[in-house]
Amino acid sequence: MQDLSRRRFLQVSAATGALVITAPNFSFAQDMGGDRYRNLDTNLGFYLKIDRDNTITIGYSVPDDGTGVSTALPMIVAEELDVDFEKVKVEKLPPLYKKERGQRGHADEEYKGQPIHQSTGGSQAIRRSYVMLRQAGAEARARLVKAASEMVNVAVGDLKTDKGYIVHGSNRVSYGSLVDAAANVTLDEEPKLKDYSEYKIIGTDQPQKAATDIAVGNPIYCMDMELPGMLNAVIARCPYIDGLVKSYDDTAALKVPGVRKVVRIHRIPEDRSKQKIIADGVAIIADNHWAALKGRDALDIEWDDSMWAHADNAWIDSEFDKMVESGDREVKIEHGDFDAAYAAADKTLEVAYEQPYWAHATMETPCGIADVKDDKITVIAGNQTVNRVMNDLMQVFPGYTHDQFDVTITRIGSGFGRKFIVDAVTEAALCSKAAGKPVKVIWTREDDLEQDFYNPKGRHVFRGGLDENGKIVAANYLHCSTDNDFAQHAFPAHHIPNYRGEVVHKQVLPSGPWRGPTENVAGYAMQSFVDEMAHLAGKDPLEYRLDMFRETGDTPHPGFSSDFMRADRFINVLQIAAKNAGWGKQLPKGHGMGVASFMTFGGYAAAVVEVKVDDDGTLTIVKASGACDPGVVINPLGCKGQIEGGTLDGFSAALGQKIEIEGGRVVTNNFDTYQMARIASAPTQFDAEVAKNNIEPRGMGEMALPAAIPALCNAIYDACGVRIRKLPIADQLEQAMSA
Amino acid sequence: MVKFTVNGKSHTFNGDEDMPLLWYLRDDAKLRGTKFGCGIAMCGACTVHIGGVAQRSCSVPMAAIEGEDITTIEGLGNEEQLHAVQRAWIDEDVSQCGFCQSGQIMAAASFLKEYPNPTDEDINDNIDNLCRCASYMRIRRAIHRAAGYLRGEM
Ligand code: FES
Ligand code: FES
Repeated sequence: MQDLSRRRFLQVSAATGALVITAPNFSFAQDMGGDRYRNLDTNLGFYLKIDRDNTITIGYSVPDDGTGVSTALPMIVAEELDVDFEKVKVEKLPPLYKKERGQRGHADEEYKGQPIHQSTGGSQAIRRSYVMLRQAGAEARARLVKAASEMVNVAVGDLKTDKGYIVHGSNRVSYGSLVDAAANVTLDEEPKLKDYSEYKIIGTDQPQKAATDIAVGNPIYCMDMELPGMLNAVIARCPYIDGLVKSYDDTAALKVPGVRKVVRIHRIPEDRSKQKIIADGVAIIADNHWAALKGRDALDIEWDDSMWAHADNAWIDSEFDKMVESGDREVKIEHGDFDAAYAAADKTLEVAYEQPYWAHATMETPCGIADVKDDKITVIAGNQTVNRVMNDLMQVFPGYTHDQFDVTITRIGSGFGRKFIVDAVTEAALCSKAAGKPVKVIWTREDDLEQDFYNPKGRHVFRGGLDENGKIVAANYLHCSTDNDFAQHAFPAHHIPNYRGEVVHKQVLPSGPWRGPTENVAGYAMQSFVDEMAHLAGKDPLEYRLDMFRETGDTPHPGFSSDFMRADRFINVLQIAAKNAGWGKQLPKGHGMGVASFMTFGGYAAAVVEVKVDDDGTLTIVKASGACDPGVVINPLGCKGQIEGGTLDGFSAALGQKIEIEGGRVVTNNFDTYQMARIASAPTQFDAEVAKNNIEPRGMGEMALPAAIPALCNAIYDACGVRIRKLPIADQLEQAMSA
Repeated sequence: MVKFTVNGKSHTFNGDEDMPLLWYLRDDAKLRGTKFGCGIAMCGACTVHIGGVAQRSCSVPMAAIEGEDITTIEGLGNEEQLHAVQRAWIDEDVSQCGFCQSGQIMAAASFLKEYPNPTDEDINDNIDNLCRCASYMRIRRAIHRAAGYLRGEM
């Protein structure tokens, strides 16, 4: 039963013996060129399904890479539906094909509504689903109530709902018993959404729905999946940046038992001035992963390393030197007269902060499964963006249309931005085409760390001037980077009357989004700079920040997920973190406390860190206090997990992570050389708190990290007077204390 | 030929004895709860118990397991009968992406046999599995909670 006249285009059906509320169908119809996605009529449909036995299943459209969307998104539907969330089953929705912007037939121009969001990244899943999911839940609830009212001849207003039941006085009728009637009722008006104050599920602690699957080791990740008759491949990819296979001899490889085929994989795109998606290489296709690895070891390959043979970190640093000297840069933001104000300043500081390339090192290495047949391509992938899987594959296999794809997106063994790139599954498809069978490609950790899309390396040069009252009156921020990234409107750009922000870049290693892109390093640089200015002014670093927010008030922040930056929200999270940390209390000898705050994708974070630095330079992180304000908090338990994880992830990057490059190849290619923190580095005390308010929500995945790193560095300075101007911290403290 | 047991069932293996146990478990036995993370014994994602003791299966060749009793996450407990450590992991809502967690659970289950009343320092000194999502705060809490469960508290 369709009800397409309704303006939100939710589709309702009882065809499968359950009430199924599907999507705002109009947006799909547009994108599909008129025909609906084939999965829409079967299974779960979109969003929610109520069976006759009152089993409630809520679908989530966004793959979960650990930020908890598979629990949080269904909570939003459940809130309006009014069901017992503990009993709700959740299910990943089948992917919906949608053309990408710029592609012929893309419909966003005509369709002004909100399309179903199917991507995890940019902390967007909650933000872009919040209203639509509530509408879906409210639609279902209103229909059930209407059906009940018609059945028992009671006014809609006299009926209540309670955890999956319609209630009238002492009578209770299950939703499940009403599904057929509910699909056929006509609603006279658009169901009203609940007010924030009425929420019963949103804002309560809900454990991850996948917790048991994970704890018992159920096969839920791409790497755990298989297709019948599947072979396994590993690929020898050129380890040199933008390098090529010069020649190879596969005689020995083909003699390894279990090896079936050796296939040349060509770089995508072919033009080496463009960043690679697929590295040039040679694939070994075998009966199992181990045989493929042995085959790869036996392969004899000569590489063309000529393009970047001169590249290493020292060379990139010398390029940054040239950038600083040349003055050739792009001014991104400017107000007042920096030069005059700096010249007239009472005190000045010129300082640079450096940070290396970081790798994503997702726990599940990139992996993809594909079966390419003449008339159909079946893929299983653990990618962050559903649409991109199909769209990218269609570029590589132009003969196929979207309805010839069968795509399954699994739970993702961590993403952090890495799994936007549709490389492993494309490689699997290329191998499958060559082998004529389904193929799984697993990347080894070496493959992953050598072939990543790294967080850009950068140098952040600041010149700052104070007036006689200790206020920052002038600042110039120059960001030299291996990517064109710049935190244009971040604090304190608009809090300094004479300010110039500039960027200059040169790409070396391929780069891509890494948890809190740009903000992750801007947080370190900008919040270290403010801290140094506070100390130069002889002021308390917390009060110094609070004063800047109080005096300037809200500031513009046009762009991704935000229009402006609110001073009161920053002040609030700073005060929460400071209170939990006991800011200002007497600390034991060798201890120090640091503070920082940062806004990432519309969410506000503050961190206060307490450290201990021993006389020999041994660093202990004693306690971390993280406070975030994402707006409406869907699942506080999950949010706190993201504050804890994001903070510790930041500490891990700051403490030890650094990509080393030699002769144009990454040499830190496994966890023996690429240093990631373990439990021993984590503080034993952690206060995670989320602010409470009813502002439209933002995602939590990236919020905490950009404030965590500078809070740690600022705490180290407070403890021992050593200023961390270069990441990673590594053994800098030991060196400084012994000097 | 190598003979051994996995989760109480006897297995025999006739293939390449250089192959790490991890890939036998994943590809041959199709027990995919044991994860691959590094292949060089540096992350612990592949942790299983051999004779009841945690070992990193990516670095144990098939040749080395003759006569051994292997336990994987699937053999530790299941949905109906969770092991105390699994229960603690769920109760503390430890997992983020979850990919490291079967290894973490196996490491913790073995550790708690030796340290039934662990201090934070004991944990720091003995558990060094990588969690890329850095869920360490909750891992630590879950280990303490599991210790309580194993002692019969709660
Ligand atoms: S895969 Fe075995 S320790 Fe990492
Ligand atoms: S939960 Fe993601 S790696 Fe540990």
